[in-house]
Amino acid sequence: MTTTASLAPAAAAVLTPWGEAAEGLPGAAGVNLPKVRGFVGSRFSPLVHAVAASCLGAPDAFAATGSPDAPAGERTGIVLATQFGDTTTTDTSTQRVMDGQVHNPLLFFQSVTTSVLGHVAKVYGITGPVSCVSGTTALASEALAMAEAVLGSGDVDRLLLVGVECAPNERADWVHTTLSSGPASGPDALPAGDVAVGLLLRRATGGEGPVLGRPVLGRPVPGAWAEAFGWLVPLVVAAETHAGAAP
Amino acid sequence: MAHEVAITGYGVFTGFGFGARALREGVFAGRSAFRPVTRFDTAPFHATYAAEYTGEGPGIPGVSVGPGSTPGQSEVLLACARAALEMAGTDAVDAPVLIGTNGDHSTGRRFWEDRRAGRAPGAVRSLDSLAGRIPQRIAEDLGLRGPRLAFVNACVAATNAIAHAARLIHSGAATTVVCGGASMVTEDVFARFDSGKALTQEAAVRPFSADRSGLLQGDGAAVLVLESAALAAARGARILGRVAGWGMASDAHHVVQPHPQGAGLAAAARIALRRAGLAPERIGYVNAHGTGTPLGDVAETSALRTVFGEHVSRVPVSSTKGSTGHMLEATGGVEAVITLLALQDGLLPPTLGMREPDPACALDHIPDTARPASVTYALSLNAAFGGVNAALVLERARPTDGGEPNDREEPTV
Repeated sequence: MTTTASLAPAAAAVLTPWGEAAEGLPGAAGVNLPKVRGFVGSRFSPLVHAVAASCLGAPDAFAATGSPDAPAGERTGIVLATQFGDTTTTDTSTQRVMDGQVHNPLLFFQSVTTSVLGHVAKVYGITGPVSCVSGTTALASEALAMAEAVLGSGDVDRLLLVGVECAPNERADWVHTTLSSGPASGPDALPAGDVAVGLLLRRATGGEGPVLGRPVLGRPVPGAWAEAFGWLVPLVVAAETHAGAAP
Repeated sequence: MAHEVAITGYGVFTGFGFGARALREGVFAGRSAFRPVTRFDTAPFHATYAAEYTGEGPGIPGVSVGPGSTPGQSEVLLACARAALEMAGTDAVDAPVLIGTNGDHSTGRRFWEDRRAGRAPGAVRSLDSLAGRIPQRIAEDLGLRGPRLAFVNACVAATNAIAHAARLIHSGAATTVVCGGASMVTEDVFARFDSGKALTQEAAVRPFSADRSGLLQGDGAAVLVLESAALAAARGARILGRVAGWGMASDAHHVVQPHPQGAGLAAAARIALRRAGLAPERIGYVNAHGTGTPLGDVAETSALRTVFGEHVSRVPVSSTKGSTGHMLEATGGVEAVITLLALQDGLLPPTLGMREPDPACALDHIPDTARPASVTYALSLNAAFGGVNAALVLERARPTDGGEPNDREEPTV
């Protein structure tokens, strides 16, 4: 489940929102992310929406990439990978219940990871399969392998892979540190801050530019990347590989 | 080379208790598992019922549950996985573990309770608030060395896990996969659904009924062992049935509401049928998502009309959520097992709570009482927020499948 030699990125984006920690890194943003209507209080859904939009471009332009026989939306799927998901929404909900407060219905809707993907799907007319996965071991590799499997099934021609993690809150930090027997590094580490990576992937057929094999994904990266991107480093490498190959 | 996908084992848990016997004595016998919630005070909420397991009915091996206690997802999944692997007669050491779960909410709450009380969060179970930890723990405890993934896409999560497992086996990327899902009734999730006015205040869910007023939650967990049919046959395993087709599709319509004509659900079903190589007329039973919500049931009916055309009036349909409640991330796994039992037993489970059929949901419903029918292929459907839809086509075991009947399988009641 962990080969990726048949994947090629058609578009890519990295978002490492504002702040000192993001300076000099791929995707560092100078301004706050735009809000997504109906989603409140958490940066998770705006991150997902923004990185998806960066990959897919304007909805009209995206639609124009299809054909009558293979409409762009119908032939595109989505896989979202995250270790902890929207911890802000989840833990805010939990603490409101503990406090006996009336629950906010908006938190109910956005606590479900598929909701923001439903928004993305509506904007771009994406009717292919949508999956959301979490894992504690080599999640980036597993997400790429899943993308490869979905593309290999023939159900879609392109797949938007979104890797996303918000800055760990107290629970996420405790769970992650406990599971790792200390601050984790390497392929399972949590990023220090908010990160989202989008890769619009297709099956490699030859001659289309970089292909995401192990030599590409495993190449040495600047030391600051490990702390900034954690488990998402291979996805950032893939995105930067695409950016480096772009004219 | 494409590989057929066999089901060789399962373990299942609902509000009726553990195992197939609990389902046969509950769902197939026309009983409902709803009762007043015992795990938390429902005074702040509109709804007061859920399909909790309180210790009545077949117990969970190794897990003690009584009124007021919430079984842990990992513990129940482990019991299900052990039962499934024992039934399959394999240790599946290289199997991927794919589990539909959004994390164990009761453990996340325990973390914050510990923090507020100034205690170190000492409970190992608090780790299970991370969804990805749950398949990891199952794999570690059972010695399964394959990749581990949690599927967190809400009410299609377990269906997606099964579909991905089938995809991996079909393509040859894996030979055996352990897959399923789990969700328990917890105050956190109950509060969220209650705030969204998704829960009924009644003690019953009424799928497809004119007076339906919402869903109720239920405990649920299921683990299936899927493997290459050729491999299963070669080792003399009993093939219980097949995952003949699977499909997923999105509505591209709304953040939470289903497409009014069930476009994505129909597309998912058509993909699953196409993959199975079947005309819709070959389907002899549909286990519907059927949550009992006003919009969802109409959308699903429209989807079935789109898929089956004029034949729709001759396809028996039931929603077993009138019996088990909605088991969220587990629901597709439990319903796959229910559908498999229907194929094995030649008995189609009923829809409970149907007082007056909604003309907008006119189908060949199976109200109140199970219907005997010999069925070869069945369709199981699920849908989630964000307009995400999933479908499975299950095939009854073939007479030529052979394999020794597994005496560890539970007897039919």
